[in-house]
Amino acid sequence: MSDKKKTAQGLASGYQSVSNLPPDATQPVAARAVTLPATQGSSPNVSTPTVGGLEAVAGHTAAVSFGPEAAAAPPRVQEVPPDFGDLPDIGEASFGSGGVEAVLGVDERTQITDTASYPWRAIASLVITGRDNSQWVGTGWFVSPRTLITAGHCVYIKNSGVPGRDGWVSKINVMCGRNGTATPYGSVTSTVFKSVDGWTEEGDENFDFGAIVVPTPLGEEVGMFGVAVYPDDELLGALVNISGYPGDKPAGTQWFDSRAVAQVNARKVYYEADTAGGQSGAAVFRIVDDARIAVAVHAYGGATANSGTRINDEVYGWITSWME
Amino acid sequence: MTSPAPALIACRVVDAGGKPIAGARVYFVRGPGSFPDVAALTGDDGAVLLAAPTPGTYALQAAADGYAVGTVEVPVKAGETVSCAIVLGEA
Repeated sequence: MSDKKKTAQGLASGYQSVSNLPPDATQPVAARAVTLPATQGSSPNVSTPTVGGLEAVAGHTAAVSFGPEAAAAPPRVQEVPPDFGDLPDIGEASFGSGGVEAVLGVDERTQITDTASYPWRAIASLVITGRDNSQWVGTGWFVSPRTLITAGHCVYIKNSGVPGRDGWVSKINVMCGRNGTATPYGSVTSTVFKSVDGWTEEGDENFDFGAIVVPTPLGEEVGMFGVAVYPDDELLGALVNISGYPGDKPAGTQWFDSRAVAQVNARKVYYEADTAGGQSGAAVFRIVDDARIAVAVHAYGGATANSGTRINDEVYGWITSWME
Repeated sequence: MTSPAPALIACRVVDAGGKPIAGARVYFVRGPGSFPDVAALTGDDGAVLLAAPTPGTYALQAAADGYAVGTVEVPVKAGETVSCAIVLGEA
């Protein structure tokens, strides 16, 4: 554990926002306790969610039922909880029972075919080129006109053990609403990335999130996800949706699943929604008053639940500081 | 803090005739601990080099359009590099 974390109080980790740009090119903003709204973008075609917080995806039903309060509760700012950062990952607790896997039991994912509709078009297939020219597949989502949020390990490779690989990736090709070979909003290349030093220096899974800044305001066209901080009691059991670009399905196709939040701690959210390699960086989102509101950034598989970096006060502050 | 050296898995994806498959997605599906949910893309030589976060036995899967998904189990120890191959049959 680093000295920074040892001296941290509550959610104040002591970590800083970092970027592959020179320091004077970044404009950090203090954390603000507000909710970022979602916008549907200027393009036509918007998918209307069903009642109860589930996306209306043909052929897909939630694997569990929920009370209407799970989806309808308004966001409110998370009170600072105890710091559970030193506790082992909940997934690790199950390692002895047969290992972990990202698809949990029967694969419940459903393919999204109308990817040119909101919210699916606000989700991007990422083709990532590392410093060593290795290539990777991930997922990102727009939070502002030029900024997508993703996993930290999609923008900064850490602890790879491969000479020349660790560090900021060289470039990321961003394809919003990709559906196989179809790219309804084209492909844009980004070379501007952001994360926090809790990830880039410490490699701490609790801080595995980052941002991609694209050269054009594509988010205005495809729409954006909102972001909110919810307290434990409202998040636990709430229905969450995940859609991204898994590698086990036909190349470049988007797949969706939804499930209840199974567990939360101060910095992570755990859920049983199925995922596979390539969905790192996907938004874990709720639907509140028809608005898509991200509550976590998907990053890891787990034995009984997959997990993402929780959007708490601190993460919220970093995300807002990266919005362009 | 210095992290322990990860184990490396050098994986090669080939077709039934042993020909390398470029652009295949390779990813972990099971392991002794949590792992990043990304997929690596094979190069022209069909190869990828993946870091296994902790020692233990991992299941890797490879997928490529036109082929059936293939899986291999690989036991790894800290600091060592293990080689494996995934053979993909036609879908």
